[in-house]
Amino acid sequence: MTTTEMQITAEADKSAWPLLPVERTWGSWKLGISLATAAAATWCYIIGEYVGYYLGFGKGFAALTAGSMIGMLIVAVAAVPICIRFGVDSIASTKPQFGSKGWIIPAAMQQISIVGWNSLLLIFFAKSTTQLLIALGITAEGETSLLVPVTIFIACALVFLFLLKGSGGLDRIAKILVAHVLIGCWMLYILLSQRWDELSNAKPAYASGDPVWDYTTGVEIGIVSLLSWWPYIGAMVRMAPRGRTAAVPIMIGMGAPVPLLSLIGVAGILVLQVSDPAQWLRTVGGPTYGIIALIFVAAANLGTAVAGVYASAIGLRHFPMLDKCSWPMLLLLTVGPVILVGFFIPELFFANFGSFLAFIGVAFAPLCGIQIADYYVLRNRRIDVRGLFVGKPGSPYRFWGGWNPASLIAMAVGCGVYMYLLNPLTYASHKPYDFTTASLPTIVIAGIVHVIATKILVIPARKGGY
Amino acid sequence: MTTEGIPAELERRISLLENPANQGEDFDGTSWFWLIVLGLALPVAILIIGWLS
Repeated sequence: MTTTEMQITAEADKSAWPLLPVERTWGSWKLGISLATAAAATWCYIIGEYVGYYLGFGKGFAALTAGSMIGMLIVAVAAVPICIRFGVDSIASTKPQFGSKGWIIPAAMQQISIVGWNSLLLIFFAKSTTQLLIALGITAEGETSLLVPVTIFIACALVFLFLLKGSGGLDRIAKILVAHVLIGCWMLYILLSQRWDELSNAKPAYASGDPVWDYTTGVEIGIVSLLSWWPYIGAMVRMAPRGRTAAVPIMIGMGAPVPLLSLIGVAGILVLQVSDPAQWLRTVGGPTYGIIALIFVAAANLGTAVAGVYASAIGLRHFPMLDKCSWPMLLLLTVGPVILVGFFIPELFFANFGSFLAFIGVAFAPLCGIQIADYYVLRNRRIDVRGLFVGKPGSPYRFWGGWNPASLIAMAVGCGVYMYLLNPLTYASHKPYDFTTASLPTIVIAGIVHVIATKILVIPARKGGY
Repeated sequence: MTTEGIPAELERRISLLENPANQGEDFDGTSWFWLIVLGLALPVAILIIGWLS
């Protein structure tokens, strides 16, 4: 490759432009490691904590593992085919369904989701650091008011520096930080080996009394958590050129670490009533274990934050006003909201994790249903790559002024179905939630509504390139 | 320099990718086998075992 070609490739890596085969060099291992680094973060402990409210260790593990693998399958089938065929990110993959302007809806969902997750991860990291410094006597309880925002700021600065060279930074950091998955397994071993009797007899604090509802809720939390990977996955799988070599890394690399590491949170909340390993490892093994746990938390969260900020920055490139924006400025726009949350509302944000998780389900379940129905049922896998980037009148995904009413109707119906089945704020449910979860019917119904609305409204009008 | 409002480099990339030989490969039969085993069969088995345990 000549110097000019290398410069063009480097620029493409920082843009939303489709990548060419020569630029897509990630094989199975590289993709799997990057996906595992992105997926394995301390959100696993919080996810585990929520499952541990309703289920014991064994059933919690089963429900969370099953839900996570089902959720991963849904995301893989919905977003990956278009991303992997044309080397594009998750947002570009929504243009055939939402239109050359309507993609702004999934783009907004992506930004909210990634900013939310990054805020949560970095607040978690800052709180762990504060707890450890207090335990080590380096700082006192009353002197920590600035520690959380300052730690978040430093973490954001590191993420910014890692990503200055594009996905190369993501790849390099993934190779180092993937080791934290092994530390996570060690932490789980410590807890299981020292507290197994307590763990096996522990009762979940908020079990509803209906074992079917509790079990289904564990599955639902697993599915919804993995739907969160939709915004992340496109930016990474576009670096790999073949579906065959990506399928197993996606399912194992991105799907399996979540239930595995979430067990740390399930076990922690059941036995010690705290899911943060930096706290409970100190209880179990003293300050040395606490320091190891903190290093783990830092490594896990930084890796995920790097992947999230990269995916988010690529997503922003689709906005015409940001297409020419310099890469460092784009990174600043992406990490800026996280710094603001960390400075002004860290406690408020951290306390509302359950509602945030439910928002993910309400938003991404119908989106996945629409994408699956559109790609496999309506288009029979035919995608116009030019239409993904050219939205002028007459282009295939222009629909009506850039918006597709079929997907908007399906999205609205899907959100309504989810909220009927499971209230995102109160977790109050309606039948048949106990036997179906809320996400799975939402995906199916949103997909069916999209197909019907497209056949009634869009195809007769000869819009959408169907 | 642009073609119909598209940056020249983006136009070059789109033109290349319009040829299926330059596109990536969708999931094939082997991919679907693993997706269904890991994303459907395994979760169903785990759910049954977990419920009975």
